[in-house]
Amino acid sequence: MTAFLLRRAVHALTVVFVVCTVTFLLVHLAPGGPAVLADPKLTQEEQAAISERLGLDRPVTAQYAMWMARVARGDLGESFLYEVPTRRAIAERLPNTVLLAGAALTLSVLLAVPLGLISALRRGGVVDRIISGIAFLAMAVPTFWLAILAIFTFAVAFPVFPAGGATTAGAAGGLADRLSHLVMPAVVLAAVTTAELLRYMRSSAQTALHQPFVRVARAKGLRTRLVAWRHVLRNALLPMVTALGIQLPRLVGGAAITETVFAWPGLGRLGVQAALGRDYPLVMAITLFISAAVVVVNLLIDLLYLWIDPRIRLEA
Amino acid sequence: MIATHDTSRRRAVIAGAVVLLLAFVALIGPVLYGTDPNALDLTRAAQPPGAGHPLGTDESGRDVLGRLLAGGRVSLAVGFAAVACSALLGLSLGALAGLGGRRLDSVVMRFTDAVMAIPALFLIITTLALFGTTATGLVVAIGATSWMGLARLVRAELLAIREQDYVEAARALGTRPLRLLTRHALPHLLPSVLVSVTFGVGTAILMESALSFIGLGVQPPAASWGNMLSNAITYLHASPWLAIYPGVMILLTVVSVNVLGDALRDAAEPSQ
Amino acid sequence: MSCAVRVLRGLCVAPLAVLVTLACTSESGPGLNALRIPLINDPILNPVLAPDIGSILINKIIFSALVRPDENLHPVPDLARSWSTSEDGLEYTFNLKPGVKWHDGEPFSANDVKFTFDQIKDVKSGSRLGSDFAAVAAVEVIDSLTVRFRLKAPFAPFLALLGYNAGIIPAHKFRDRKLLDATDFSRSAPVGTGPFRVIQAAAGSAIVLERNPAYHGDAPPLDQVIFRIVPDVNAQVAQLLAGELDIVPIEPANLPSVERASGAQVVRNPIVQHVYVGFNQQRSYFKSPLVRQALDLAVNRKAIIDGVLKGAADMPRGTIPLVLSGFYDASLPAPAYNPDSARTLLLKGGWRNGEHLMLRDASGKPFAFTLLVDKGNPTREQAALAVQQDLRRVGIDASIETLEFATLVRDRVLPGDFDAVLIWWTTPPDPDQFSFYSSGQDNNHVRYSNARVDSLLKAGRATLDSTRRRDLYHQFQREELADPPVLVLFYPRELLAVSRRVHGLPALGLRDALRHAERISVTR
Repeated sequence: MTAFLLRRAVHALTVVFVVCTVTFLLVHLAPGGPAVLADPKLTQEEQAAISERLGLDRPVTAQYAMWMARVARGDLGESFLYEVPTRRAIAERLPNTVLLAGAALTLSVLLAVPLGLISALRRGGVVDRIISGIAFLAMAVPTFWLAILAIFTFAVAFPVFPAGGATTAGAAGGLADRLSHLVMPAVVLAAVTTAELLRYMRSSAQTALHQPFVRVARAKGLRTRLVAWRHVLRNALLPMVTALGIQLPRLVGGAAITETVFAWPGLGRLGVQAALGRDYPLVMAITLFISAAVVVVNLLIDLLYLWIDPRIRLEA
Repeated sequence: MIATHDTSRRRAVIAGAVVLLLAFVALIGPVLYGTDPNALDLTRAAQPPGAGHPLGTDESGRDVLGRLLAGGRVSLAVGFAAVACSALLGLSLGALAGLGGRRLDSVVMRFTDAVMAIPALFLIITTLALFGTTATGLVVAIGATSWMGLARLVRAELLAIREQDYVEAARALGTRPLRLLTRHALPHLLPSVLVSVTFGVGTAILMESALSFIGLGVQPPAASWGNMLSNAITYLHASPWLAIYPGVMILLTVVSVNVLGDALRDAAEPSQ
Repeated sequence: MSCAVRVLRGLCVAPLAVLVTLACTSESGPGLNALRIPLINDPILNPVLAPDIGSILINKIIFSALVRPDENLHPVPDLARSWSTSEDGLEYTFNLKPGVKWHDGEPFSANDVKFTFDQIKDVKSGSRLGSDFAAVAAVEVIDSLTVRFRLKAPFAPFLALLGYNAGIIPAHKFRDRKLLDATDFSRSAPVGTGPFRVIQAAAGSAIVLERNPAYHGDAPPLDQVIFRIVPDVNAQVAQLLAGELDIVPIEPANLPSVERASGAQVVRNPIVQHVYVGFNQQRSYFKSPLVRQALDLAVNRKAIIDGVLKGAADMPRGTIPLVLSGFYDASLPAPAYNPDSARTLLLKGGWRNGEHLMLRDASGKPFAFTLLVDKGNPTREQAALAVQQDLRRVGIDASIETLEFATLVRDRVLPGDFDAVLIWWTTPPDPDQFSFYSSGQDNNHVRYSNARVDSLLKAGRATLDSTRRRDLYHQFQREELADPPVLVLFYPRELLAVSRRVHGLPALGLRDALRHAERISVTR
């Protein structure tokens, strides 16, 4: 058991190291330089001063060494655009993204599990067709389009929800205020995830339903409902947990678009703006951070898996 | 059970037909239609459907139908090319991992895990910065962020069949790994690859439209459904039809492709 | 069956109940006495370091300067009560307002002015204003309320520049650290002398300012000014329409959406900006003034102004914007649109008609080049397309390349690696364009060189007498007709979508209007 954990920990560290290097290479090999140098009114002198201050005039290998040394120390550099330590920029926005992604994920699971199960139980029927149809539609809509449509429908045309932001700035802003700002972005973000998880749940429930023990249970006369809830669900949930692990990076990536349209002060949006502005330290810090988070979460999911399914424990 | 197999086949046929029709229209349409999709006419901007413009004009006075057809060509081309690229990467890296020694397998898998851990959008944006926002760059960028699933699949499949007797026999006879791959592994892999590729087209099209929204997709004045849709958002109030056409096309394409992929996957599953 | 239905029902009812409750608490137009403005990104709250327009905008409210522009863009007192200039124009002595306090209660004095300008002129401080004040030799503190600037040479734009972006920062907040290290100042807790002070800065979310009770000018009617960070322009417009923002800068493309709304109106203010196509005069075919005259005749500016900008721009006559009425010669004829004359001029210049009536030079090379334009701005992209079509009609093959603005500027414009570029200059409220169009100057990216223009611009910047200055710039304008430095397309008007609850907004560009923030009020 400990050997397994150790192996996984080393694995995780290697992955993070590779991410570090890959991001550094991508960012620094890109032609051109950071946006801070892109002001038509900058004089030669000013350009040189900025380059020197940001360490951009050093050779790439030296910058790489500096970067790796810094990461080992836990210092992820200072952002060019925002002129604060990247750690702070990330820490300020992380809770917002966690809130949004968490809400979206919760919503997805709450909807996908029962709906997927029902689809599987009633496979081929009207209910299944309707649910699947909606799922396919949801998977085919570009997120930004859905977001703008939502804003124009539920904030402008019918003022039901706020059009953006995480709170009403300047006002006291209690729980109700924060929640009302959360609804639309979370629903939009959850749309694709729900649809995908639903399809996944449907197919894994379908597989579970055809397992011999289920057939036996049904043959024995146990009521469908009981069979469904106790046996199928538990077995179907297992692959779902893996699916969650895959959905996580996509959720953060999808959050970038949703956060931009809804003016949600999150990490995804920060990452996109940093990449567009070639804010090297910030891009690297965010990519590193998110990848590390994903790796950790996947590790936890693997542990969860171990706990749920004894067969795997034995193999390990 | 037989009934569901038939319905899934029927769905596959319908979805497949839609996709083929779209591809055909995209290929031939612009040639048949003839109107220059890039011809600006600022005096006729944002007109509803009327004389000479069956679907109206966009914000710069360009014919919407013409742009829709040209855009379809571009979007579908990007979709298929990106998927081809990711299939190539996935197959090669999966083969490397599956057929090479344990160390090679380890290295490739770590790399795969690392790339999987980075959210695709960030990776694409940074990759586009490297290759530039040309059509090739776009295809490579999208392809380079969607090969991982296939690579894992290929590797798993290869590792599984390696143990099989006939493979051992073939190796004993001295067959080279590449031949092993093509003769024995590929037929097994084909269904999974096909399913992955089919879904990949939808993902690529959606990704292109998301990138257009950020400004990194297909560059104007060239039309693509993605950039038509994101440009149309500014005019949502005044000329909503500008957003509806490309939106519907994307919806149609991605739904068809997903239904097709889904049906293919069902067909490939022996347990059903 | 019933199980499924029950589950479905449960799934629908519960969230609906929650949603209904939440909907009733949603954000409508506040009973707040506040003005809400969007920004694209988190600002840097230090006028010396501020690199982008958003930061500049918010700093105009937080930090007062020595002077500020009035409705006619002339400098009037702000922190300086009065000033005098020496005979030779080399010394400016400012008498500061007494009793001014910083937002943290400390007293303001001439030391702060000296400190600010020492930082501005120090390249290593991260200052972005150094080039504006290159003419300043030294700043002396005469006494706590008097400060003297000594210039290297007479410099007419000096006062206008003082009132442009040079907000004064407090010396006492930087006693033992550099500007760049003071992140708490630049990010969340700046200290200025403006009519509003920052009370809350949520990263990525909003900056909230409240009325400064100790403001040295008229007491502002507003309680708060809130800057919300909304990166997407369409989202900004949506928030305006939903009543969550009060002033949103828009593009002509957004006009249809805003004009429909009953709660907002569109304001079109002239600003000190000229949008142009710059032709790199190191390329052989752009060297000749005749060619540039022909290019001037080939482009249909009116069609662009009406079609692309929906009328929200003015017809140009040279590079000095119309709004600088004291120096602009409106009597000059508007540029003509005459593609036939254009082609004749080009043929006279040695070009000949090739196949498809596209021009070729003597050796058969086509007249072809790449026009760069920044990405993501539909107005400029459409204008570039229109220019491309106009040039094609005259036989010139221009292809368009769109680049991200940062890449465009840093990698192509600044190093001079371009054929033609569609770009603009926003200038201070002063006609001085020496650094843009005088030979060899840093900002002369098109490498324009005309000896007569050089002497006119040099004299214009050193002449303090306004009548003589005006004559000089009128001559410059005339010279530009014969030898155009760039192809000026239009003087854009700044389009602002303003909520009807806002009153008292001066009819200036937003950055200058906000310098009079104490005049703005809102109906609740």
